[in-house]
Amino acid sequence: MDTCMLGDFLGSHQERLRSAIATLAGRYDYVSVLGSDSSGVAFRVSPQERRVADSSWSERGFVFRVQQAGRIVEHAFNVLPSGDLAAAVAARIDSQLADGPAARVYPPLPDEPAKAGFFATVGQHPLTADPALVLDRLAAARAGLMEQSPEIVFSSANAEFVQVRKIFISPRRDLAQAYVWGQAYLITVAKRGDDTRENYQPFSGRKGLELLDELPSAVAALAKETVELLSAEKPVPGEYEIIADPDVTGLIAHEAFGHGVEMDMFVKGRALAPDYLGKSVASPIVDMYDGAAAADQCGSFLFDDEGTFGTTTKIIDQGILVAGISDLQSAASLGTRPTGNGRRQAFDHKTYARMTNTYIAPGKDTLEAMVASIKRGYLLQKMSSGMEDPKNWGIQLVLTIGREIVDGKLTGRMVSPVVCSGYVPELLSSISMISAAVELGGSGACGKGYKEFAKVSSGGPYIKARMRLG
Amino acid sequence: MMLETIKDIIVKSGRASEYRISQRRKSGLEWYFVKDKLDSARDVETTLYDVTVYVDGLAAADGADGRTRGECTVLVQPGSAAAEISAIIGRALDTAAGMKNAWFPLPKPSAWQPIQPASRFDGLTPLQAMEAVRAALYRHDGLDGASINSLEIFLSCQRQRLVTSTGVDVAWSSWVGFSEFVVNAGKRGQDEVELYADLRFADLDEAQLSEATRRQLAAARDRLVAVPTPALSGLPLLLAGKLAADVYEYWFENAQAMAVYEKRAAFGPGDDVAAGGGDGDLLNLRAVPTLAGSPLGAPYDLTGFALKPVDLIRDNQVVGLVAASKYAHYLKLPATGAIQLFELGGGRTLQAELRQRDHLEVLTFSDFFVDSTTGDFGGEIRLGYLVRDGRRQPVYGGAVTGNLVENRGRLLLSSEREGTPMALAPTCCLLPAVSVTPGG
Repeated sequence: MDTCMLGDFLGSHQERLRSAIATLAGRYDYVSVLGSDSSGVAFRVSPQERRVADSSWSERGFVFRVQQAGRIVEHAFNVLPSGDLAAAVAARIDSQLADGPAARVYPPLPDEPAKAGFFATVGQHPLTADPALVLDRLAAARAGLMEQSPEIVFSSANAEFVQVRKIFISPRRDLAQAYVWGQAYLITVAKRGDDTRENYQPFSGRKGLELLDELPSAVAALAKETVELLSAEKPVPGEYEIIADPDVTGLIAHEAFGHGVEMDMFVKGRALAPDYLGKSVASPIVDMYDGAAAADQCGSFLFDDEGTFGTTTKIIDQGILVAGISDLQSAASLGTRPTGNGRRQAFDHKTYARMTNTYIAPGKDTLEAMVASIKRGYLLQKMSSGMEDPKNWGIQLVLTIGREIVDGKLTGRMVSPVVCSGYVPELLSSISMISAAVELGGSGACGKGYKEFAKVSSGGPYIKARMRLG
Repeated sequence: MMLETIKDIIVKSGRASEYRISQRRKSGLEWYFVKDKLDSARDVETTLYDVTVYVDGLAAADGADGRTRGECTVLVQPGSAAAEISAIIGRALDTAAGMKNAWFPLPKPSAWQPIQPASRFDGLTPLQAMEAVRAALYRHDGLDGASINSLEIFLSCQRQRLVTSTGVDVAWSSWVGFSEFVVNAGKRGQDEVELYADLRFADLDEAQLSEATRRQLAAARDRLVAVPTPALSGLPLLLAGKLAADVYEYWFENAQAMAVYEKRAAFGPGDDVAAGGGDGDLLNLRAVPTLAGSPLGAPYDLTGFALKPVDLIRDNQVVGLVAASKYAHYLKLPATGAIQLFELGGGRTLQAELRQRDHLEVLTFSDFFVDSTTGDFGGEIRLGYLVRDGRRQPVYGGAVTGNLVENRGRLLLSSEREGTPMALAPTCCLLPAVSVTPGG
């Protein structure tokens, strides 16, 4: 096991930052600084080509945040000035406070005392590994895919590992953390005549190179599934009984009541959820959670990008909407306690209320019983994308695979792609069975709209519900 | 200074066959509004260095001439000490040396002088530029009871310099603007509706900026009176603006040498993209490095190739591919550089005539997708218009799905064209083969 360390860069600047914060605290009502020094590496093996590059999640820089007379202003940069840091920051902050349009006034941002550090361990640290060995392992998995069928015309194997290193300093808080997350994908394309189908298998976790151990056992099933997709038909539009696999359950949780309870949307009046707090929004068998402390996956951390400790938030309790997730600013505005969901894409991006690890809790049913209970429907797998509409509670999911179920049995027939749409409360209220085991996945990224990508995970058990498919 | 330091370290290592150093400086302001009040403001100053080192080798089995080339790209952070830079470069060289991809050349300096579109942001202070954008976007706020719920403005000036071991040393700058805005119509509570839109821009075109929010405010009012999408069969789908450009991008993405090299492309050089059939408009597609008002283009690609427009599809026949030096060499094609934008020729029919036909137009999807590999497209309808027998009814809910392979040769394009960040292309198109899932 290797331990993740803070590194020389942040370590060497901590004292200077503390000094600047102490100076600026005498000038502004609130001041804090987040420092990031995250580095990662991305590997790709494709036909006749191997590539290695630093991960696009790599970042190094600082963002100072100030509140003065209720206004909130930030200055982000990645070149530390050689002279007086506090004076340089103040000059940039003051020019923004002096100019610009009429601004909202927020209640004071909290700054409760805390001093803590979190330095995770990882099986095999990915940033000290020999890249050639990583590429060889990916190449073996890719070659395995190509050997499965002549109809597979393309495959690639990709892996990415990032070591996140952050410090947060305010007059009363001094925090540090370092941990690793990893993700990998096997991607396949199969062709038959004019028909082209694409498929993938993701892998993820707060893992190092040990993540690659999971690839070989997925090769045969992925290849078989991709070739099966060549025989897939288009779904006949209509409403069906569906079973969502854990990935799709996670996507439903994420889109339906993950984005819908991000409390900066409450502040803007962009969500229906505030009107439904304490009311039924789902079947009584549904519990749903989010939180950096709620699971050990890609959305886990000690503290968020505003220095708030990660927590576990129960969003839905037996079908009743009970809480949302917040950043500091929205919590201050709404008079609630921040939940540790204030996150940035990087130091040079704004903080928003964002999800971390979002999932539906387990039930007592079995997948076999769910399949047996369906007269005509589909088992939905392999999420492609999703989008929420927190104001009107619409939801869109795009999935690669729908496996047909008729008279309680999987028929072996497949539909693809599957666009699922519906009204969130109807969908969640239709959940009638939930299986016992929860699985979370954290590959890819979550956007706020079409930007501000954050590393999250989502998941749950198998669930049975009703949805419109097309 | 930093760039020179990196260059010196690479050269002194004596291990790099070639190298490429990119310096990107960004200076930007960001304003976030709730209603018409500034919610928070930020300024951002960053400098980044992307460095790619190439290490050549020999391997009889690889490359036509036995030569191999490994490459590794790393980020060098500004302010890094020389020892840290040396360690990063050393790691990159080790990695590149371990790879044995087929050899390919890097571009050499070109006499061609690309022209960057002018921007009316030039000469303005950042504050003046932001205020002008804000005023334009809010010009129609409150139009007939629809209002802006929240709006974000990002505007930065980005300066890039690219230096390579082959002698390329070029620099250019661009304005990169982005706004995301959400509009509401109706009364607070159950009846209020919202629509989301975003906008990319590189020029201070106040009329275009204000028109973007005006259109969205008008659409929000239509969403108030929309009815659930009914069951429909046999009606073509009309898409306009950016949604239409997303569809056209399928042909652009498949005309990439990398996709052809990896055998993922739907067609290749010499192919008829209509597969010989259909009564649709002929496709005439051209890759272009920059477009007026678009922040997505660049005069050079990442390797320093000076970019020029290139014909890709002429009257449905593939006549060229977008080919960065590497894939051009692998496929023995002319190199074009990695061009990012495209132009598509207009069709035979005026937009007004296309719109007179019975059709379903979707103005806003929850999340429109077009899969460039499979040709699948679709999305949930947030606001559409059902045009039948001369009547135009706003609709919402349900979804549209289809496949561009099933529509090939049958696409009808408007003769008028308009600019989007990605393309100068027909203002709207009509797709005949789609499936509609009813809403409600």
